[in-house]
Amino acid sequence: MNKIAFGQFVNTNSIIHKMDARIKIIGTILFMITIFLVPTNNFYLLGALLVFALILILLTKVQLSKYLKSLKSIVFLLVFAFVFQVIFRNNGTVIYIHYFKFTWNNIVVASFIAAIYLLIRKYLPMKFIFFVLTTVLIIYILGLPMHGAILNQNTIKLSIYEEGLISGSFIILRVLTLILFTTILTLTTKPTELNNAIESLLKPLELLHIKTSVFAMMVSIALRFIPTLFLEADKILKAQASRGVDFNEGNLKAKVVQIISLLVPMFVVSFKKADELAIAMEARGYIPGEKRTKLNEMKLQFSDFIWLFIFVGIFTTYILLRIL
Amino acid sequence: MDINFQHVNFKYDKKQKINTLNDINLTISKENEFITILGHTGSGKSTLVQLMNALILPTSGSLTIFNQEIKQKRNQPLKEIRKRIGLVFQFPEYQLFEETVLKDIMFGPVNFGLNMEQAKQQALDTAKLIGISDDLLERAPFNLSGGQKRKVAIAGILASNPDILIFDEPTVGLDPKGKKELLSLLDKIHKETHKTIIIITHDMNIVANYSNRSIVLKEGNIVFDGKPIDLFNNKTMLQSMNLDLPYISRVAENLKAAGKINYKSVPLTLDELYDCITGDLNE
Repeated sequence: MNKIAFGQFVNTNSIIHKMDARIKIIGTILFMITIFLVPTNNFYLLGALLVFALILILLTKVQLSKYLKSLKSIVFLLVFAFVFQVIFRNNGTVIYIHYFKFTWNNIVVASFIAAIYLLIRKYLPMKFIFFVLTTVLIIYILGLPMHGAILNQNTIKLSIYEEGLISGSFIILRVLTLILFTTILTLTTKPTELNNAIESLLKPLELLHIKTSVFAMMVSIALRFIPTLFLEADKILKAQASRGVDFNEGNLKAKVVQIISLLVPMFVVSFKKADELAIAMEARGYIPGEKRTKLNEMKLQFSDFIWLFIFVGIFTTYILLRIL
Repeated sequence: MDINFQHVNFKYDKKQKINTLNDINLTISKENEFITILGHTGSGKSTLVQLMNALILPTSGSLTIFNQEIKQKRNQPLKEIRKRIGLVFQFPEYQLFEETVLKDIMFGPVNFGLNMEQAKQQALDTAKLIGISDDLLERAPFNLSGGQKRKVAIAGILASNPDILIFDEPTVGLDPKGKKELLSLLDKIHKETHKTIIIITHDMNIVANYSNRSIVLKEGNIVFDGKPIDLFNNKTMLQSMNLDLPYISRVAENLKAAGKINYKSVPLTLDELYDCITGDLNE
């Protein structure tokens, strides 16, 4: 029934799962900094980090498909960054030059392909791959020596430099490693654990009289109520649909009414729930900012210190390599 | 028939292994039926009535509502169905949102294509029928009491003048007086207009006193569809479905066990019990 699975947590009870969440957060932050400490275009040092990430991934025992899923969302960004690096780098060794020839024949064929792509796009699986393939094909066709009236006398050229390729790949690898480390954190840590860990890590702020526990409570309540509010919204949506609201159609005025008919009841329900929750919390003795005991007290194990030692060790090694 | 289920299956999620509703075969007429739908929490009652209003679409099988085949795709015209079948959700007071009670009651009729004047007239008539006093009509719905809000929400559905009325546990959270008022109102509508009324309920007394047909769901299957009296007379079936007898029938059972009265068919209402007792005395 609960369609909205919150977070990406997958429980395999591996040693990474058992690691203290605070150590995991510290580790992730250290690795993020380390990744950017790697000197530009130093593939060995970055590769070493990637290998370390892969070892951690194997240790988590989570299916690789889960990691691929999280990478999928940034494929576009990666390709975009790569293409820009390749196109706009214009110094160093040239490895390939592509001359555009804008003749009538070229343009007609290229437009034809673009039109076909736009028509069948809806039915294609893996749209993104087809998009890249079509773009490459069109660029290739525009370079073919075809007959026909030449529109543009000045040939436009696209030069690809070795440095562009190298730095493009380096950027891809860097972002990839970064995403893998953060994915390890989110796949192996429950949202509540994460929240508790952040609360614990922010403890020093209490010296400045900032009540971190209150913020942590707010975050955990917000997370807890997202699925509940989704269910409520679904109910209200259906109730209004049965009163003749058609959420698929209508002009601007009708749309406004539709949204109001959803929003107003949502506000009413949220306030009501908030009120009830506040009373229930008070009845059970919750006082904002007071000291509370925890059901699962976070305690550092011996293994956590080993992990911390490894993380800090890698971090300092990279700092030293950077300085020396 | 006006609502026709043929081998309808329904799943909320393709990955779901067991159907939420399994092989549903059901026909409902728009006239002269007072149906109660019974079953445990999670047995698929609410899902079934949402299908009847085409709020959700069947996963497989054929569902026809007022001669319109409900397909498994979006963007089909469903407004007419929603107009002709009024569905009142559980706790309908949460759907109120307009500034005044009158506007909220008018919301449905306006959506279904009436002009402002007609909608207002319909809303006023419905308010009168349901017993919402005139001084409430210009107030904000959020300031009303729980029972009044429920009345306004129900009026919002009735005002569209649907052919079939469906209620998902309409009496939950009402006090005994409000409960009785609502049920006698439904009974009155049923008797005067002969419109079919469908109620989801856990209350056997509603089943016994008002309905002329009962549908029992168990784990997504229809396990009983027939007259309430046939359901209550079959003790083993009742037990297998975890259902109780109405209060009156329980009293009658105890009297019978004590040897005070005798009957073939268990009395369901006070009148029937009365007849049963006086009949015995007369003999």
